[in-house]
Amino acid sequence: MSSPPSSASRAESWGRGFLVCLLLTTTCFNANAAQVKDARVTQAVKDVKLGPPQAAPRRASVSNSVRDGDAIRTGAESRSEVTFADQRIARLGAKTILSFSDGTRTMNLGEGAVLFQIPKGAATAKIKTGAIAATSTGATGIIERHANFYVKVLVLEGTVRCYLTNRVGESLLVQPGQIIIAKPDVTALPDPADFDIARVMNTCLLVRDFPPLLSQRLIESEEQKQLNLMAKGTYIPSNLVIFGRGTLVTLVNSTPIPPPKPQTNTGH
Amino acid sequence: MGLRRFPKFLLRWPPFICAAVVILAGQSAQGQAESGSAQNRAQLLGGQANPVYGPNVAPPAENQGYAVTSPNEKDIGEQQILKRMEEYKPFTVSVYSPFFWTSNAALVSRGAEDDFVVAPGVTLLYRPRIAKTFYAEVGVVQQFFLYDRFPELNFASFDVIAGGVYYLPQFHNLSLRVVYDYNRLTDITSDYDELFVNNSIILTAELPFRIARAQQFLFGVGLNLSFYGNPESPRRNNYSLYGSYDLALSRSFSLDAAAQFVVRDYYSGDRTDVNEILSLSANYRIRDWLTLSALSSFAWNQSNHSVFDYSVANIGGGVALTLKF
Repeated sequence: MSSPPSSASRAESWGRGFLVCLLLTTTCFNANAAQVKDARVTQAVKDVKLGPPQAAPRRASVSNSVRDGDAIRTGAESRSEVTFADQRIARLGAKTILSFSDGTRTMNLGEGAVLFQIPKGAATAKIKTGAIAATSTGATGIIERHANFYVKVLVLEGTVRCYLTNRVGESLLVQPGQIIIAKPDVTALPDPADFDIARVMNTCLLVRDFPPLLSQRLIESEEQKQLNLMAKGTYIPSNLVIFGRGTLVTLVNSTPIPPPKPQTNTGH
Repeated sequence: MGLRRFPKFLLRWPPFICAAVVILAGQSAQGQAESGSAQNRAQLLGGQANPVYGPNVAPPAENQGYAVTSPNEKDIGEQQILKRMEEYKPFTVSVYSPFFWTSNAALVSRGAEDDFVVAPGVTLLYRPRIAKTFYAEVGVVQQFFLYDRFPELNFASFDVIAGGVYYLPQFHNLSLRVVYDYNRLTDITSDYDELFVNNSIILTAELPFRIARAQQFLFGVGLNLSFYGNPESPRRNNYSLYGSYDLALSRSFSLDAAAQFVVRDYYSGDRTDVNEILSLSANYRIRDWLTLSALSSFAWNQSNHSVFDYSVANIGGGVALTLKF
């Protein structure tokens, strides 16, 4: 009959197991970090510049590599798109400054507008602007900032957690079809309002002037949900519209409620 | 583990006690306690793990305004605002079962005995919106208090309430509540013989202070004025001050602390009690309709008749199922 293992041999076994786990974890983490770091410019329309903030920016062109610490800038009527190895996408509107940190996992919006797409399964991505941070593990949306006047967050699909970086506990989930508008130095996040996803998708140049998004079907599914809720009377289209950037709300003629689209299987 | 060995278990597991005291749960500051009567035990233990008995509908506070500016770029598209028609659900059904280890089962000044108490109950509440910030309130509450070692203390409490809650958003969301409460306590060990019947008017004013989205202080004053009771000796008026602090650590997990100071003026004789209650709770919302809680409360009573002095600690948990429609 074999004798029970001594405490020394047990400790040795535990130690080996711990080392193996540590090695595996480190390997996976490093692989993931390396994957996240890999980003390239995939669209550059008109005036787009790339480079670290402290150096003179160079003109960006398609397939330029984007490194940790780089900033990308667009001029008037210009657009750009950055695609990451994990299929994340950031599309910059005109007059936008976006920098990258934390292995390009964090995007810092200094000015302008960004459409972001974070596919499910990708690493958690963060977009910071002012005191506001938005994180998600799967969502498509738009973040806009103008100087110290306002920050606007729109979610087209998925869920985005918005929180204040300088206040513990000030956090909220922004769901598809919700918009929040706040000052960049806000001390309390406002409650979200609701917007028409389909109208944004039909008029947004960061959608229309670029190839279809990977999350297009998920967004269409959210559009369909909104149409169904409008048909049920849960949502009523108001005659208040913000045309493009800014917070200027325009009173327009009310539009009739569109009939719901026939149900389609968006999975095939 | 036998219930009678529960105190030994606590002695052997000091971390458990610390965790229970620091993290674990409590009750809303609605409870009251005093010597030995079922009325006091019902009020001390009855409110736990019942999330609906009291004003809980507050209109959202106004958001801060900000400058309207526009850099005149159209690239993010047109954002047509949709108005969401809120579907208000006036009916609430709640089934709950708090359970406690209590250090003083009979709320006596000398010879206190500990026990384990289970207090299952059900609340049916109808709260129609009469105006934008005014809600009527009609409901019934039935709760049972079942003791392990001292079943002779078992009793049931039945309440019928009717009244209204008025919110004043212009005054920091101050809420004013007026409720008529019919309360009947019965001895469930002897064919539900009536122990006590009370008719009272409850007036409360509560002022919430939201520090951030996840934290809130609430301060309140309450009057519970009995206008008819039988028998006469337990009849009393309660004058209370209370405050609470809520901290949402996540969307599902929250910690609550509450403190209450009550003066109880009895109709019979010259008896006046002063009662303090401190409660702590941790609540985990598994689903919108299912909440698990860890609960604790500590109460002290001082009377101008020392025989009614007591102190008690209750530590336990609870589960609550709540449906709104």
